[in-house]
Amino acid sequence: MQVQFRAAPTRRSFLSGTAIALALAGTAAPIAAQDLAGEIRFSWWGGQVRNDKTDQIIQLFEQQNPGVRVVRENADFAPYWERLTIQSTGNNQPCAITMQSRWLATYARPDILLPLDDLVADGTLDVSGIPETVLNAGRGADGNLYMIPHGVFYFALMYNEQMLENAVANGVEPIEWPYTWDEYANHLRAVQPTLPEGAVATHNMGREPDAFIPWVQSHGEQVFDGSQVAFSRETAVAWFNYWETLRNEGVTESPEEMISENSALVEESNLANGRGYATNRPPNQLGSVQTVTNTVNPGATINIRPYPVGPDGTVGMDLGSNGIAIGANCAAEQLPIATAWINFWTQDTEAAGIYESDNGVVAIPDLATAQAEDPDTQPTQVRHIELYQQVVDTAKPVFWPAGGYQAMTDTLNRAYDAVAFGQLTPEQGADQLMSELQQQLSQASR
Amino acid sequence: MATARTYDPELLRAEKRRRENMRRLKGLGLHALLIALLFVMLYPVIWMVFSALRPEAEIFGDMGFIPTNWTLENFVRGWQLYGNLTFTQFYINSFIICALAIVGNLLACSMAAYAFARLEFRGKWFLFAIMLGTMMLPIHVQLIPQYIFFLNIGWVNTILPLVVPKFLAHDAFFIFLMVQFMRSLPSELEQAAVVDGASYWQRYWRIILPLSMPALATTAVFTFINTYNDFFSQLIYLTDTDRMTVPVALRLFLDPSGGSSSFGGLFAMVLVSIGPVLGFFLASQRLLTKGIATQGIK
Repeated sequence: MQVQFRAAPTRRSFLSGTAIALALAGTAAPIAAQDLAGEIRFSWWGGQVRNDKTDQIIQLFEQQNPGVRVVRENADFAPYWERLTIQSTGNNQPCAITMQSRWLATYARPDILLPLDDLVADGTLDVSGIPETVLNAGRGADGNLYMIPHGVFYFALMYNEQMLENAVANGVEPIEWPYTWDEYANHLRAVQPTLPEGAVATHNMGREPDAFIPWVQSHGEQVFDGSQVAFSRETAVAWFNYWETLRNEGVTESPEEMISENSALVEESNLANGRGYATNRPPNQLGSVQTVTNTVNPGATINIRPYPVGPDGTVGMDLGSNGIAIGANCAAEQLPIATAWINFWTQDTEAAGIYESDNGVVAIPDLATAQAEDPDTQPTQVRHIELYQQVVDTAKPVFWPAGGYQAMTDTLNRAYDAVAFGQLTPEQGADQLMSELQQQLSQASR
Repeated sequence: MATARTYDPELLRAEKRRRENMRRLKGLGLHALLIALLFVMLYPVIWMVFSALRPEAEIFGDMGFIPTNWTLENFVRGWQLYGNLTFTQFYINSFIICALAIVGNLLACSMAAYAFARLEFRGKWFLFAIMLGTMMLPIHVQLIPQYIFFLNIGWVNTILPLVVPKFLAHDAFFIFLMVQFMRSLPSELEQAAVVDGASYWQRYWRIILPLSMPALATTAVFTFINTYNDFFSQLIYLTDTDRMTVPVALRLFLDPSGGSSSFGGLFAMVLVSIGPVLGFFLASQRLLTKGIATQGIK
């Protein structure tokens, strides 16, 4: 989905947003929880499990604030953004909006979202414990803070440990991180002959933005510079060649299988169904993949590891954030409830315990450590948190321009598909990728 | 010289038997082929039915077609979506909207169609062309202006944007369908009513509407199906979870963004949600047949 706004910000909405921010900046101290009364709308995306957890947290908040009602608005991921876009054009967005750093730039304007810096500065919004790099993921292109992150998400390599053990038993050297991209490719080549008939060593990630980004960043380049493409043609050519070599050697899927394996649903993946050794997925899916694997391939364990490192030894992984923003249309009397709700969601231990890092590792390191050490936490969730803690210092969060993630997905898909199906050479594919991506970014930034 | 042809009755009977056997064989082969094709077409539905009746963990794990373990757990868990939200509420919401949409479309579209089909007034063909033109407008063109309009009059998060336009002859397709049908009705029936002194309303209500039963039944069926399946409008206009409808709620079982999905609950509730469409279609089929049989035109 490409989200664009044509309407210019209205003076009235800008002034009202600024006035609310200034009014709150003058407030001496955060409003006590027991003083809260009223109603706010809160929107989020997710499936049945996340909805249930979110509902429990809302109930807890309402119990602690008897005069408050949180009106629930939730939807599936793609429709969620479509609805928010339409709501925003009518200045009818919810007061508290679940936001993601990859989509933030599209909405990060004072007439849509309320700038939060003043509320943080005067202590109304409590961001204690949230690392500065994570907090900065909530900033828009204008430098204003528009979202308070509550969860950090990332993509990693997910693999079948049983297949690895079998490979090692057949003489394959186990691989230890940090490994380079070439070392990782050689590992896949070695594993391939030991796999069951029909299985491939890796999902073909040539068309995956979440694998291309670590490739670019681990080679010392940026993905974007504002709304400009910042990576080089050589890097894109090398990326296509990397996957074409593996494909021609039979280590990864054919173009047809690559496209059919592209579903975001865990249940349809080759990895979960025992047809693949490794893929790239967000680690918060580890539990779901393990559940499906348990039924298809009992005894197999799925694990995660970081992407390979580049020549400078850094991993180049992107760290994205999910958080809560406040709609610029939020009425002054609702704002204390919205800020209290954000504080509750990001800082409350019980709320964090219910959510269990369901939509990214909880942003406050102490809460993440507590979850990892809790004996009741699922082992897959513990691993999710541990890997985050392993790579957080060397990861490089990407600043996504407006429409950037969708543009990258569309253009990389098209370019690599054309290369894999033999319609373009890697060089032509790289040229197409760069020109189409830049064109889409320019359109979205107008 | 012509020679008389003689026929051996035994040979004739044998030939007749052979032809009969061939016919039966062909019929059998054709039926076998059709049944095989039907099975191929229905396979996803049959697979979904059996998947809804097996434990969640076995849906993608058990490769067998018939479940090893049978359970109704998916129906129980699926019906209780989360928190206090159940499909009981979603069905009530969907049925209220569908019922009002059907009533609205039947009344308003038939009145507009009667005017276009049987009355003479200035600008009739121009207005008819504009009405047809609205069918060609993509939904994306209308979406934002409509939303802002309904927002400004305070109708967002109510069912009003979904049902009130139906009472204002909003669906040009159904108007066109009924216009075409009403034009085919013999004008003598209406002229007889005119001689008896019937007003426009009486001619519409007592003559045209009863004769238009097939078109009305078709409109009712398609309005129900379109409204019941309408995901996007209901997503946009009904934001509060208490007001969610069935198609919107069905999307909340899967989470492509990384969270856990519940395929068992989804399959069970999809299965249940097919029921009203199927039932309404079967019931309306009888109405359709009855309408054709009683309209007095053959």
